[in-house]
Amino acid sequence: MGEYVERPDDALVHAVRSGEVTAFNVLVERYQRTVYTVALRLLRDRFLAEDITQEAFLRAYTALDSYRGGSFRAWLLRIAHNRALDTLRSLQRRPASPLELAGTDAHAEWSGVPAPVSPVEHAARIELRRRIEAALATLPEDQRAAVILFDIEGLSYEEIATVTGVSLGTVKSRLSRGRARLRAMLAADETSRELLEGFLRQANDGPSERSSGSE
Amino acid sequence: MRLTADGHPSDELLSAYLAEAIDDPAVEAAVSAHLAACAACREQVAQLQIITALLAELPAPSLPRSFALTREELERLRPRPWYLRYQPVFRWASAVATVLLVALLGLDLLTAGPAAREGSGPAVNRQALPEPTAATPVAALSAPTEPIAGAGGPEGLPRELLPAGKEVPTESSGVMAAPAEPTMSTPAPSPTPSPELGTAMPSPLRLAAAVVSMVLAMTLVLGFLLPRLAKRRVSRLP
Repeated sequence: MGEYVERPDDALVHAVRSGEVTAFNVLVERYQRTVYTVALRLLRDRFLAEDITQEAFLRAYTALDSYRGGSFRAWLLRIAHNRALDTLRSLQRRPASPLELAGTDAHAEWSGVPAPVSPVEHAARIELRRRIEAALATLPEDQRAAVILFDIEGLSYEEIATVTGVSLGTVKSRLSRGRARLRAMLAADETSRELLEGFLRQANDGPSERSSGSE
Repeated sequence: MRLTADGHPSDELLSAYLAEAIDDPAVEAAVSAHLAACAACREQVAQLQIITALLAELPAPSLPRSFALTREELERLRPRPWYLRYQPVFRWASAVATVLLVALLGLDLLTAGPAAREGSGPAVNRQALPEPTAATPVAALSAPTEPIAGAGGPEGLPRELLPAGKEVPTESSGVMAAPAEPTMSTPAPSPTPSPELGTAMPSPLRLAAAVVSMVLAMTLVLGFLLPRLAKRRVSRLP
């Protein structure tokens, strides 16, 4: 399988279509974490997320001929997203449970973390992140999907439009409303607001120190 | 430009401003101008920035397992075309046929002298069978059945390897008629074969070589050309 690892998505899709079926598992390895994470954040249930991820890959495999280029990631996530929404609707009356993320910290993947910070700041960051995650789980599903796909998974507006099947304008407004709602929720909670203000002071101190240093 | 009733841009508008998702440049300019003058709104934007930065660094959950499809699922859910499934068989058959063909042609060259004389012997026997209706096309079709049986030895190996046996007899019998035809068109057999008559008649070795080369051509097409053409057709899809 090693020969495929470096190849772009579309080349792998072509390989599968022309009979090299094992090339599909390279795509699985490439996107299983993204699909599972999105499904988990949408559904807030690990077993459902696992089912949906498996189903999405099986469906993508059998329906591979209907992929018409563009973003394979978006095409795949569209399948998973549709399936997740179906499941959410069928469980509409299910009581909301807090997002359970086992091993979250053990398997933490720090991206874009600035230079080493003091233990206190580190603890504040983790605490605020936990509160953001909890607030995210209470967003309406369409706004939640937009925030997950754009801010967490880093998809483009165009890709999110493909995944969710709505216009670019709708994607942008869902994202703006979702972020605004997150901020309003955190600002309404006293501890979260203090944590946010702490970060703000840090951010404001940074540039002022730099400017004073250059004078 | 007045943005909202209270003069401040809404949370949503500030969020859109931050995401560079305001499509109307006049609105964007108005928000920008307002932010320059309003510390409260600047703070809201800063909070949004922190929230989005922390969202981006949320740790990914650990995978419960690998979602790779099993070999069985890969084969069952996307059956491959028959010529790809038997591609190794065709390729091996073509290799075997190539070796066989070279061996037969070499043997033919080595025995060129005696083969010309001895080869006429069985040819005469064969012609004795269709003699009464030698000129009719029915005879021309039935005649080659014996040469195939005669060449069964060398041909047997590749034929066993070919699962698509359906095509083998039709192809080879059609071609078999061609090398066999000269024997039909030759005048009534004379008991004393002349040297030039002997060279006109194909020896069993050459018949076998003809059969093997047909098998070789077919296995080359099925094992190499067809998969390549199919792949090119697939890669031309949008």
